[in-house]
Amino acid sequence: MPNIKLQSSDGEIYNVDVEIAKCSVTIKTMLEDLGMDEDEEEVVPLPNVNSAILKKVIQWATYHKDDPPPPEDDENKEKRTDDISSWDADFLKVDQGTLFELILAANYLDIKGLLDVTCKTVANMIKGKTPEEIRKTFNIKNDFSAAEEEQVRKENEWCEEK
Amino acid sequence: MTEMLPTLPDEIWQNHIFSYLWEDDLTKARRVCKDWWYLINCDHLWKPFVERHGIREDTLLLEKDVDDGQKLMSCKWFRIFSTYFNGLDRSWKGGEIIETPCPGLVEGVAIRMPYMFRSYDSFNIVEILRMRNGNFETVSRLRIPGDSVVLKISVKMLTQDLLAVWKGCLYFFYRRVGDVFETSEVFRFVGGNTPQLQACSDVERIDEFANRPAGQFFDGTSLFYVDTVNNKTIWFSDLLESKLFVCDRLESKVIKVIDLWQADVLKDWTVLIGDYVCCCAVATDRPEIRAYSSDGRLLLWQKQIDSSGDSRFVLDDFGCAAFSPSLDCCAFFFRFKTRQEIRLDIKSVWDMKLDSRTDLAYCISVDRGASVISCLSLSSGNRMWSTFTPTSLVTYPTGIVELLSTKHMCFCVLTNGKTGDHIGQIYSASDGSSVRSFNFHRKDLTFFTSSALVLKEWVPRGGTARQEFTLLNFLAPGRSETNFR
Repeated sequence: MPNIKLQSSDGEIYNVDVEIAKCSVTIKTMLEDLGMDEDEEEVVPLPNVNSAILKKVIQWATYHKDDPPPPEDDENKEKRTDDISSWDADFLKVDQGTLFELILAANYLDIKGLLDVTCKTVANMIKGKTPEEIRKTFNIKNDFSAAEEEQVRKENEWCEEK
Repeated sequence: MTEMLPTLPDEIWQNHIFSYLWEDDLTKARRVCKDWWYLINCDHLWKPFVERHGIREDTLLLEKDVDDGQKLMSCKWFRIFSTYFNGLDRSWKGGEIIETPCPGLVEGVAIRMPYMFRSYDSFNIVEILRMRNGNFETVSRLRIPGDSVVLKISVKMLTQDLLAVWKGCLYFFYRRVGDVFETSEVFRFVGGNTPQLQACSDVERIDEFANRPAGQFFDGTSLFYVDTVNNKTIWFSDLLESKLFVCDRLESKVIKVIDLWQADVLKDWTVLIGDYVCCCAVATDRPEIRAYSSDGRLLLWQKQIDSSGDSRFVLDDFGCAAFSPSLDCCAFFFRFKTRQEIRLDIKSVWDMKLDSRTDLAYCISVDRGASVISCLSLSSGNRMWSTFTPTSLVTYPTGIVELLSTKHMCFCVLTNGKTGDHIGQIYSASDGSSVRSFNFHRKDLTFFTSSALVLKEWVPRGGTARQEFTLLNFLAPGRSETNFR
């Protein structure tokens, strides 16, 4: 199996099976554009991903290497968020900072499956919560003025609990 | 020390995270902070919900959103969505109804959310229940004076704070203070040559009149019936003299006597009264429908209709419609405020339900021997959609049909002419597609609000029949049905 070397932003180099690395559309395109021969031992620099996150991404990609390609998004996107596999759920039991870093890495590397599952995890952190609970979860400050708050509350009347 | 979270790009939040949220979570997320508000304020997040609920923009009155430089300007599809849902009574959240022991047969149910009223005529009790966290809880019981005799108790919530209960010649008004309903006024109607409404303040007198029907008060020449009570007026009709009396509730006096028919022989007539306007049908040799304002003034409409005597009419707060099941007989709608008459594109109508707020009417009519449910625009008279009822449901010619509607559902009860079975059908208001259907055993009564339906039926249980109520909540799919006894 040919390998390629991926270099994180902090200089760490990881030796990865090309087929696994290619689940990243970004890396796949890069390899094709650069016309890299698969037997050449090139180093691909990934300046947006640090070593801790890159390690996690490789771990995820390795586990999912035989997955069928994820379906394309259509207009009426399936809104299910309860279909996260137990492996993924365990894999994503990380702090919020890491979870967000993973989203950024998945977005940059263009790994749809990882992006979907991480974003679903964040969506699950919002679901069923009150606005105040959501603010606490994500450490967000309420910056509405009193008048704006009243306006938004009114528009939301239909779903407010009595 | 607060950990600095990496920030996610807006595109990620909008297209990847928020797009996984359903409408209620999305609505809550809008309130979190201004950044999120702006991100969620985009049409592509809201459009799927508008479409999923079958909301039609043209049935909504969207307020003009004026940019004063200070207000947050909501996107179009969110405004359609919120206008629709804020206009509905969302307090029906479904869930289990707490069973309250019934001290007898429930005779009537009235709903004005969050309250539900049940009257037990045989016990002279009106029970008041309040919806809390999806459950109805009894908050109080009103004992109506008098014995339990043949007199029927009627209940109506007139405004958010005013409850009317009437029985025989007595009219009780209760004012809501918190969840407590306190007696505010009691009146009795006195007929004769100078009919009047008298304030009944002392308890002894109330008891004295409590068991008498309204008609017994009169000199033997007239028989009076109360037709309706609204916030301002109480209407009575005198069956023998064919007169209508309009009484001012607050002034407790008769403010208008309407002579329905002076010259012709009166065969039969009906009075229907809405909250603000009254309409009256007179079916004699000259069948005619007249519309009155709630203070008794004749509006400009006196409609001569089908001469077979089968003419019917319906009304709501905005207008009334006249129709007849006779073949080739057209239907008309009269809008009270503008005094406009609109000819509706439908014939042979058996029943009609107006929903003037959404500018729609639902009809059940006969077309080539089959029953058809149609939805018509009240401003143009055009048909929006028509759908044939299942052919096995021969409602014609038995005609036992009840039709109810909301902003998004049209409900009708169809009776199989051969077997006598009743079937309830719910159609989508947007295109007439069948949403669901269910069976009744022996349907007895239906009660209805804009978002829920209460069905009363007798269900056979081991040789006897048991009274059962079903609450159908149109707004919470999956949690829509609750049975309570």
